[in-house]
Amino acid sequence: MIRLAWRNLFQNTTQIALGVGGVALALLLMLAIDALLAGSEDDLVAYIEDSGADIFVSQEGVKNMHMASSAITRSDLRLAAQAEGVATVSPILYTTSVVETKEGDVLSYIIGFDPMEPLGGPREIVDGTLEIHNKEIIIDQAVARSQEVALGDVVEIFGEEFTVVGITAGLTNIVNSVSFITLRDFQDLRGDDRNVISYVLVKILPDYSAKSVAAEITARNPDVLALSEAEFSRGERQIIRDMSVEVLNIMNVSGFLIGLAVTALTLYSNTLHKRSEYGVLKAIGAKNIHLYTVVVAQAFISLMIGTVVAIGFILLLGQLLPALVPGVAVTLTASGLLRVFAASLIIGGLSALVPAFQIARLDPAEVFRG
Amino acid sequence: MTYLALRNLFQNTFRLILSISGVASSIALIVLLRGFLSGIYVQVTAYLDNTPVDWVVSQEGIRNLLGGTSFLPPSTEDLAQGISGVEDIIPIVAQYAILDIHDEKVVGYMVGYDPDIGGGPWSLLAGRELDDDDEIILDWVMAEDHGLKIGDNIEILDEEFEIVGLSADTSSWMANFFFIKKEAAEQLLLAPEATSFLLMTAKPGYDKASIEARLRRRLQDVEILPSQVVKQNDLDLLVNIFAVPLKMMVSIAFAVGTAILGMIIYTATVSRASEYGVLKAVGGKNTQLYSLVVQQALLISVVGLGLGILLAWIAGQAVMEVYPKFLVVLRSNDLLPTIVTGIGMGLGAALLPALYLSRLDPAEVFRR
Repeated sequence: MIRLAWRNLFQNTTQIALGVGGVALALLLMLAIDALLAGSEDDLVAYIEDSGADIFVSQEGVKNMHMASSAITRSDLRLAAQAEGVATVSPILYTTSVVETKEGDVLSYIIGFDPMEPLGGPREIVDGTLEIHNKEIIIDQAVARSQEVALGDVVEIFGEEFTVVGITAGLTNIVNSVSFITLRDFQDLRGDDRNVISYVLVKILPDYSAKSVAAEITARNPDVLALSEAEFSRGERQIIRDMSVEVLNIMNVSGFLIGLAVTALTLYSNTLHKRSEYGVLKAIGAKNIHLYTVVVAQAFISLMIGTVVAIGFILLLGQLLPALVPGVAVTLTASGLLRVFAASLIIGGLSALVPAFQIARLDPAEVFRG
Repeated sequence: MTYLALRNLFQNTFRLILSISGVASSIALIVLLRGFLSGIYVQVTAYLDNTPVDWVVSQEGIRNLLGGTSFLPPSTEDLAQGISGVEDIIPIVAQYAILDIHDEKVVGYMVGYDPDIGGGPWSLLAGRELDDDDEIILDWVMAEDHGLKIGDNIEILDEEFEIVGLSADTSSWMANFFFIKKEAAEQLLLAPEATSFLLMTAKPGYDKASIEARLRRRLQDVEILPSQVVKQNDLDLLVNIFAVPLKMMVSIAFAVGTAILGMIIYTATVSRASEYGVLKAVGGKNTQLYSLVVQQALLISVVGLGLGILLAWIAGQAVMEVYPKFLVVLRSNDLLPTIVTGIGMGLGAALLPALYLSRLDPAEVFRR
């Protein structure tokens, strides 16, 4: 029966091209939008995850960085350093602000870090230097590309000029980027008390658990909250998703539902189009179960070919889009692929079977008349 | 010919319904996603759209309202008073703040204002204006999302506030607005007498360029920007990075949606090949064949487009009902490219097989 389904499906190349083309386009729609959503969730917490810190210490009650404000003191840092299992403590100052370039403004986390400390600054760069001095800045590649900023160019933060000396990669997400200046410059810009810092990045000794060391730091000092890197990045991701990714989610769901509707309509039409051929099948004595098997097999084959074509296009998009549009990532996930394929298989299978049930109830001669 | 086109099309009503449904589905998606994008733009500029002022004065280097934290030099407001041609000066303290609601951290955009001067909510859905420093007007969507009502207390930066009003049209995909008295905002930020922005309005009949020149002479080390520029800066800043994947989604929906539309009409035309063969066999000219095909494609496209836009509107209303923080705005300017491309694609997709059929002998058409 499967062989019959295959041969019947490929009997008319125009029909197969149109039928499978419709399914492929619907799948492409669903998978591409899902891949864009997945891509937009990439790098949301890249600074935290790539910082090298095991624990983040913040002002009591502050569980993330995005749109948050944390102020602790150097004595809080020293208290954290005394906790058992702590290897190093590195202070940073942080705010969200605008990096002004000649091409336009970019929203960015501004991190003020001490180049003499082990943590806080960028871990890797793709161009320039990690050695940063006063009035110098390290920005991300996506910003450099989109704003056409190169090493040696000048950008502005809070009206002050900074020379770009380094370029990082992977620190720009859909809501902002990350830029690094020295702690001293940050203090000068804001006129902050030099005793005040925003967060402490803690590295722990081997054989210690981040969770237990964080609990000890918090227990020693009621003015701070210490969270393991995993907890801190979870809180950060949640806040950004709540603020910004939800709208993309809704758009993804809309695309998914419409894509399913188009898949269903296409497979329904495909079955209907072949009603006379199914009538022949019945006329030569095939049972209804054979008819259903052929119909489902043809829907499955169409979906498989459609999926392969759609995946091919998305892989191509994944290569082309990031090169053409900085800041866009197309990430095809296994869960997204599975969700789209499973839903299409169920809805498409049912849509193909509905006209088959009607055909099954008719006399073969009736099918030709209809 | 129109009569024949319609009769032929309605000969198989079910097939026609399927074609129109397919077209409507793809158009609905394109229009809906475009509506989301437009809604995002509207929400970003909501505060300045509803607080009509001519200039926004901010800290030097801060050229937008929603992008960063601004603190003006202490004397700025006093210096601005008495400048000829300036009618109103509204000082506000505004920045993002994290609210503690039922042990959950929620980001909101705080506006500290003086109820006697202005700068507060533009539409109250329930409750009243602020009287005291420990009172707050919360966006109604934020209140509903977190099960809060008038009379409840919430905590901001360890201070308790009583909800006395619920504002409308102050929700956003990013963060909802909430309003407290300016003095309360100063206390929260531990910055007495602080002002983030001065919102200024010109007296009617005065030359705005001259007023702006006077403002620039009087107020040093600050940014003085027309309200329109600040709105555009907010859009550029907040929507630009964020809108890239969103615009890509809209573009993909547009490209794939119109391709689906084309394929549906192409399929519908090909499936009537034998009927067009009959037309040729009985002496129909190619122009008549094209005319028939074009009319049928137009009907499917136009009805599908209309239905698709209606579907998108219904879906948009449903989304806003279920998720009130999202705004779906269907604008005629945004609809026009979809309509034009949809009809163009439909006509092209119908004419392509018609051109091919016109070159064949009628008998050939039946054999295929």
